[in-house]
Amino acid sequence: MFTELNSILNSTPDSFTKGVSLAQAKEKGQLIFLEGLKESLSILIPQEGHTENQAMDFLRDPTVGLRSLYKFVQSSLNSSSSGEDGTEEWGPSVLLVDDISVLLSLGVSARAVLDFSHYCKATVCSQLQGNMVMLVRCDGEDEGDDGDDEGSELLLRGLTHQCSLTLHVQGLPTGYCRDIHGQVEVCWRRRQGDGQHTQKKLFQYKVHDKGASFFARGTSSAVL
Amino acid sequence: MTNSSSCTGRHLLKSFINAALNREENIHVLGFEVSEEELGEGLNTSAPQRLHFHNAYSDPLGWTDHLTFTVHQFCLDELTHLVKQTSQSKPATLVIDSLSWILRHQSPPAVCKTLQQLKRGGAVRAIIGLLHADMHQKGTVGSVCHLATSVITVAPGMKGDEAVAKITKRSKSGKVMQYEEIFSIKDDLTVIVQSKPSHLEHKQTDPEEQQMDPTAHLTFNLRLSDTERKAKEKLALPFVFSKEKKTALLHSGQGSGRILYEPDANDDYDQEDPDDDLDV
Repeated sequence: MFTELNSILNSTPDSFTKGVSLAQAKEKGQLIFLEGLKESLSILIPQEGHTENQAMDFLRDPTVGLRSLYKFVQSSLNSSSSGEDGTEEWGPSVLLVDDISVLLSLGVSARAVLDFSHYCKATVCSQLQGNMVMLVRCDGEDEGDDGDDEGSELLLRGLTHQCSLTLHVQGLPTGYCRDIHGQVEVCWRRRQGDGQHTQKKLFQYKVHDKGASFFARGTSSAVL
Repeated sequence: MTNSSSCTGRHLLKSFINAALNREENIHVLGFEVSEEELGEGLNTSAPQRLHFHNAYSDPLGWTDHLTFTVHQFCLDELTHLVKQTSQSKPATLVIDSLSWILRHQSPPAVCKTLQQLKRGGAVRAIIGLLHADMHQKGTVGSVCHLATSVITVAPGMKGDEAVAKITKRSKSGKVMQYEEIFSIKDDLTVIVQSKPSHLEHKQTDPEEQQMDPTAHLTFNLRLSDTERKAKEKLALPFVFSKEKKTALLHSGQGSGRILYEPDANDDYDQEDPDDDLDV
């Protein structure tokens, strides 16, 4: 599915079963899905008989921060990795956040989001040896140096400092193309085994039904 | 030490820690941003009793009751207590990773005050802090850097392995030195400084640009061939008073032309100078 991406990132997944059912995974407890939109209704339009989801507490008062949301993440991870009650023991945990910029538009400050991502990283990556993937959007507006302290640029920079790998996805500067959907700049921040510092590589990609293919610039099969 | 999101300064920070360990100094690290394992990778571990890592990474805000160091403990009393608890006879070197983390939760004046008090306090002989300059307003960065005796700003270099360091040093006499160095860090965390600083390289490329021919890439021809150039140089400009023109005017030759005026009956020829009444 992602053979080129795997070789770019120098990673080899151990085993890969094609055709994963998300619904089944959710039932088995392998997948814990927090649907923000749905859960937010429990806070925004409280109804009798429906308990509020505390993870979305920040909707009531964004200045409080994302501690409750982190508690939800922590308890989900602990329950799924403990292997109690005869549940299967899964491999390392993965936390996927899609997308974290939405929190900014809900009134949460960039600082609070960075605190949340720090705690998630400490729990998921350092404590549980898992991985974390966060999607953050950036409009690329020029906010100026002393401008908006709480903007998406600040969040992007903060997350870039925290993470070990960034994939910066953009459309092509020349506009729409049927065979090349965009370009992605892969940036390794941590020192790799061969002693390289921040290493950057630029690729172009095309999205298929079941994955995406990556190639060096100008080498798309449509061009060659 | 300041850096930006395009170039991490943590490798250089680790080099400094390693160098201090090799000099047999006592080091206390306030680790907010990365875990002890990550920061400890590659460090000299021969004398673990001299390197004290204070875990401010797992629970810096007290969210999980882990009883580790929190950001609210960043004040003179707590830090002095922390350092004195474990230090031996010599005052310790305090490494802060990172100041940006603290500045996210404490106001810049409070942080600057604590740093200044630590400097004067005596429990700590040196403070090395990492600051992400692109995470704060310029005034904040300026204030914190102003407290420091040396500021090293790390930026990406020309080649992948190299980085550029802009160094500002303030001596006690008040003299300020600024210079740039290109450096790279080896696997064992030793820093190698390249001999040529970057500004010399820039000076070498400038003269090349000045000599670039502006008539080189045009769609029309601005150049002159040799015969054209000679003809151009021979041409006498019309309004330049050259020697040849001067002699021609002074010695009017044969047939050079004279003006003869004979008034006829219709001309109002007045011998008087019409400008006589002017009081000039």
